[in-house]
Amino acid sequence: MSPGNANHDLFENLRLELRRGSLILAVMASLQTEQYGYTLRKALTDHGMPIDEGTLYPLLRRLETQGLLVSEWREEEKRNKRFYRLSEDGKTIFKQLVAEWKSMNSSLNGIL
Amino acid sequence: MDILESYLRAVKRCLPRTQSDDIIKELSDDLRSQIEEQQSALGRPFNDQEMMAFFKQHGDPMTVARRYRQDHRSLSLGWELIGPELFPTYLMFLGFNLTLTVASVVVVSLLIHVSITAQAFVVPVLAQIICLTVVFTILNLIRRKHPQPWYYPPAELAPMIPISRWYSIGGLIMWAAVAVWWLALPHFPKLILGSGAAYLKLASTWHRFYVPILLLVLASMSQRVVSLLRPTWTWSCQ
Repeated sequence: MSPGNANHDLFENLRLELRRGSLILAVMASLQTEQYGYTLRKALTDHGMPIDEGTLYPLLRRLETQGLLVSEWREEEKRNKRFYRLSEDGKTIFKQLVAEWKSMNSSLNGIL
Repeated sequence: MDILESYLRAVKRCLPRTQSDDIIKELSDDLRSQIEEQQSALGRPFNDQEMMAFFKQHGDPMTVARRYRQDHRSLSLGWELIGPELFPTYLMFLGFNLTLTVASVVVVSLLIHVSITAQAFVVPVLAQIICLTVVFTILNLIRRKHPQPWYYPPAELAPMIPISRWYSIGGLIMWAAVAVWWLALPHFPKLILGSGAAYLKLASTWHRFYVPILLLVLASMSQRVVSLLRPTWTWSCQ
């Protein structure tokens, strides 16, 4: 493997690691209002956080298992859709995460 | 939307059974929404080719299912040999091939009346592991260069994905060469024994395997001829 490829792989891994935490925050922020998967994905893409469905849906499932989201199957436009929103625990933790994010962001800005 | 149903069935086959219904319902809604949005931008429904192009862009069913499995096991030796998307398939093939190898060694040993020892398994098992690892490492390299290849078209979608002419012609040439070599062996034992043919001869058990192997080679040739003449033909759409 060439050094160029190795560097590219390393950058990709680090970028994904950096993105993973931010995605959780972005998803939770978007789910302060109820949405179903496709509109959520579009909203994230429109805000510059594209995410493929193979990453989004397992993440939603994990957040739901952790009790941070609640979901409900409902019919809309003649199709069954699964709607997600933050649970009460999710809202509390989201506020804490936002505070943490802001504090980290300001520290990092100082360092960078 | 028949192609969508076929695509979803193909994805479902690769998902864990406990979650498959749930995932497929959600994926189905997501894909339908995407298709509807693109069709409304286009001002008309997709034709079959456009529908297939959409699914090709979305990814082959096996890869899509792997993303949902969140199975990040891989094989690495300093650098990644087989990535997480191919690793479960690699394990599946390895398990299948090793079972077949062990069974074949046992059956052949019984047929030619030799005792079954651990040593008899070492070379075939190692050969299987090495060959399969090399093949999957190459597939992994291809995957890295072309992130969304359509590796194994599922049977349901086969009529929409013709087998490449070059795949058929290449296979036909290879199997024809094997057939010629195999047919020539009884007359020219040197082709298998090399210089040893001067003082060695094939054992009598050779005749038991000769015709079955010849039939297998001819069957492979026939398969390539059929795929060349009818590139979209499958058992399910006769």
